[in-house]
Amino acid sequence: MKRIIKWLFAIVLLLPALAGCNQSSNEGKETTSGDSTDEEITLELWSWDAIQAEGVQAAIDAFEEQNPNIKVNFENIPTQGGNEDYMLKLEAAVEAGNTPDVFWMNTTAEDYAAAGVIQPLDDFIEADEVDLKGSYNETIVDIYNYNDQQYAIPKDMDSSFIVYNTKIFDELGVDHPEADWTWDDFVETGRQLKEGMEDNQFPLYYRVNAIYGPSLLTVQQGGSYVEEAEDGSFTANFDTDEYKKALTTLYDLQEEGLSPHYVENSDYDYLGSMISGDLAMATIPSWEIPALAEADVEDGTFAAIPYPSFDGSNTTDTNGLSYVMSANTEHAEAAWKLIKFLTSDEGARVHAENNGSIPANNNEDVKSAWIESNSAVANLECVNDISANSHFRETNRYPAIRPGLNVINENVYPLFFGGEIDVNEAAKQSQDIVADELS
Amino acid sequence: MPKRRVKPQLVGLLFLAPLMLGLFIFRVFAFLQNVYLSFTEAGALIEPKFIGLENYVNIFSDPNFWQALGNTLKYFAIGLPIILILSLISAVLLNNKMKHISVFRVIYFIPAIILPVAAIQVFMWLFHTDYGLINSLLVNLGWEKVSWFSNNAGVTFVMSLTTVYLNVSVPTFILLGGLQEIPESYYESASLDGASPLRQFFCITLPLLTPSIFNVLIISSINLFKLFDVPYTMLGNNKAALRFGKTIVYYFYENAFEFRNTRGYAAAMSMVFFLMVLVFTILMFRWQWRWVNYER
Repeated sequence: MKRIIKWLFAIVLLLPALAGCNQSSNEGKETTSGDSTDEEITLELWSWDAIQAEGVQAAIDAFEEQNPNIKVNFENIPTQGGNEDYMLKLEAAVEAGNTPDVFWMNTTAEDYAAAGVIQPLDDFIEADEVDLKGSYNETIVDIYNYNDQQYAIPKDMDSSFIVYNTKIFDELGVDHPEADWTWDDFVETGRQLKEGMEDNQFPLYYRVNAIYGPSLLTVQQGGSYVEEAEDGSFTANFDTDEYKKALTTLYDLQEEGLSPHYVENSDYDYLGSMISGDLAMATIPSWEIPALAEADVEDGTFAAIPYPSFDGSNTTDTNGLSYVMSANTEHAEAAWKLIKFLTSDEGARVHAENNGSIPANNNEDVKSAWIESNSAVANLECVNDISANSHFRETNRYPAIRPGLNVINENVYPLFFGGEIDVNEAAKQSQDIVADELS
Repeated sequence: MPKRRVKPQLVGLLFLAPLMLGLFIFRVFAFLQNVYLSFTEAGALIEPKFIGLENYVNIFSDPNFWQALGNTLKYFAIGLPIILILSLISAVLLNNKMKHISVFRVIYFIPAIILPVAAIQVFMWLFHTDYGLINSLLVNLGWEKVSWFSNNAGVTFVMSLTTVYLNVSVPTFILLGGLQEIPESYYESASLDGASPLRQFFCITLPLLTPSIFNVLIISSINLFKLFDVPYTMLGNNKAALRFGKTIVYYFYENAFEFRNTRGYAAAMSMVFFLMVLVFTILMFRWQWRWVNYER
């Protein structure tokens, strides 16, 4: 008897493992049954932005109401700073064969398409006669098109603003900036503000990160981080006058004490300083606007304005996220329905109303829903002018240079902005790092 | 009974099976997989491609690897002696027969049970240039604000402090356990012979404690070699300060999971580092016969 109990106990211990096998074989059976309309279908959807999760969930609720037989399991992967943690979890899921049916993607989508993890949506787009170029921002549509196949439907697009604290301007008696300002106006405004500010307060913050600030200033002068050959291959192109001027321009801001120092203020918290009133104006990407809109300050404290023009150009860069579909999904029809709804006029509007980035959907109501929901920040209407004058961010167009840019942030900029190497050396080192990364 | 008997050993093995299965899959298999990956070019979205020793050759010309190794050794060299001395002092103090000593024991054990990430965040904010309590204290005392994350010395100080804080509790209690095993009678007879408390400490406590100290030495060394959570949490978003704190495991993590298709390189790096730690541990075990006292 005792022996039997021992055996039973051992079997009980092994049960979870057996249960695991059982479950997966059940899932396998489902495949054969296909998508009949009256059957309950469950879709898996992943995203990475905690601020926007609320908006996505609201859009999903609306979708489920219209499609009672489809249930959406929505999971937002919490992530620090960028989206590395999301990519980590996604890659693991892909390798384990558990790719979610529908998920968020950025330009890394090209790798996923090449690996056959996501599927082209052209058949669905044709069947439902979706007017891609008419309904969505064209730039964002194009970046998800590989070998003439459309792999994603654009979800949003980012935009960059200068946001300023009107209270500080009024208090110090400095004129508010105007939409057609130049870099000289920007610096001059900073100087005027600086006179009335304390030592630990800054008039302006311009993002110094190889992926954003210097990249934009370089492009505004007509320069570029990469040199593209006719066959589409590209090489690093950092040892240029445009890049050097971008770096020295930012260096001068710091030396004059107008902006926080890259090294001395390496842990500078610009959003916190904006809210606490220790920073008068800052470069703010659209995905951070909700943080200012929800801040505990009087409405209208913050106002948005386009970037000042640098070397005659005030183009800013943009990138857009999208929804893609797993190549292995068992419910392609339902997954397409979901993608189509989330990016539709209705779905995108519900998303934007409940916290989101700027919708890539061109519909007027959808765009104004985003402006409305963040109306605590004044003058967001200027987003239309900014979008009309934006180019696709170089560092998203060529994701392969990104690891190199992070090395520049870590190993070159501290030396350059710390005054240990000059601009020629900084440009040369940047060139070597990215060239080495690409080889 | 005419029934066929099952060998008791077999039943025992069956009980062990779930554990061994886990050990095999997550340790043995994962290790072998890592060895294989180190000879390939690999990434999440590409099939591993065999490239021979290329990864290993590349390591030696990679300045970032040497920088990370230098940082790892720096925090090891600073952290180890401090952890050893601090845990020894704490253990001796906690071994007092004072009233309410258990309250202090609880306090000393707290760093071992709180979430490391939470503790690291607290240290990060304590030393924040603009909003940190430490700087606010310095300013109130009439000193200048210190930019802790702007230079090697500052980053090294804050990171070492955090690392020691997180890693000193367990050694303290290992040593406390060792102290409590030393028979009271040794001290009694030493007192009778007129040995001062200091003499007693160096001639009785320390020699008899060497097995525990050796244990602490090995555990702490390996923990310090593996240092990752502190730089990742504290400097992950602080690109200007990262070069002073990026450790081998951090650099391994970037290559394995963040960079594109460098998983094979990361595997090779982890193999090289594994061998370094292995050699260190073997040397420590050899060396122990010279000073560790196992005679009791």
